[in-house]
Amino acid sequence: MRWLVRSVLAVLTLALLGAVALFGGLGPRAFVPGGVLWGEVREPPADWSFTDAIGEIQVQTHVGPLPWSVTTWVLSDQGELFIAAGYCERVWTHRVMADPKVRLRIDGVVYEMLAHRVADRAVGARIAPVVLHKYMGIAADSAQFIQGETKGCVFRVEPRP
Amino acid sequence: MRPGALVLCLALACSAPLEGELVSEPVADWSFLAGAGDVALATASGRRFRTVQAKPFVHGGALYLQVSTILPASDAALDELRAGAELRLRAQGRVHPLRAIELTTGAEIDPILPTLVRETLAIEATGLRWDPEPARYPGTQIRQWFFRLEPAAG
Repeated sequence: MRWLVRSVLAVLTLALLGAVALFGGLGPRAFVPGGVLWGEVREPPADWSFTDAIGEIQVQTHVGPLPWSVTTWVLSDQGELFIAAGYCERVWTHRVMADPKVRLRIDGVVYEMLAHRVADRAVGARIAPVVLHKYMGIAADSAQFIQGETKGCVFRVEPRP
Repeated sequence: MRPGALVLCLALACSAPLEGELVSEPVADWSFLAGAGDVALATASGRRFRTVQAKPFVHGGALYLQVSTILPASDAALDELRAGAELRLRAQGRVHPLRAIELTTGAEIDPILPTLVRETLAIEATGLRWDPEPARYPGTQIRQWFFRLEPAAG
């Protein structure tokens, strides 16, 4: 019977350590989500074009009271900042749509921002060529997401008031 | 296959050739593939693409393959394909033996880009050009390989 108690305690300890690591700031890695994004918090810059040289950033939202962070694509156009998900049916995208307050970590620096989903076709025509060129290595004279077929979504990111 | 062996096989990611009716005659127009439902790919040795995404698509009736990944790791099936191994594609229960010709230049890749971005990204675009190392976006591109798929010789 003692072995059973020890096994249960070991499993509980591992689960607790896992939860602390996940939500306590281990951070997201590739496809694996994480928790709190640690880093120096700075005021957002007026021009985000420096992110053109950055492939991926981390985005922190929350699931209930728990922090939830993921790695995703970052896009800038005319100095504005956008984040994108290849598939919109994700935990984090739904959470951001429910609560636009996000924390972004870019090159180790944390920015506290608001993210709103973009449905404007004019913005789509600005962002689709950026997606193609930045991530696919395909230059385009013009590009637009096909309405009703695209599975991804784009969020415009702005400073909190 | 016994259940234990199947579990062990899955755990070890073992390879097995695709099963199905082998098609010997070449396909003139692959357009049927768009509505073919489940399509499976493996090299002739049975190796599957595991760490990369392999997406076949049809352009002008001909068959192409885009392989992509955001991971730095290599993929054994991709390595085999680039080294000249034959590919097997199964659609509608029929297995097609194919050879893959890698496309590397803009002249080869540019013509298929409109179909590629429409089929795989749901983006309609004009004036598309293969530009794998754009100065404005240094080092942010996913890793990609393109192949034209033709009937295997013999």
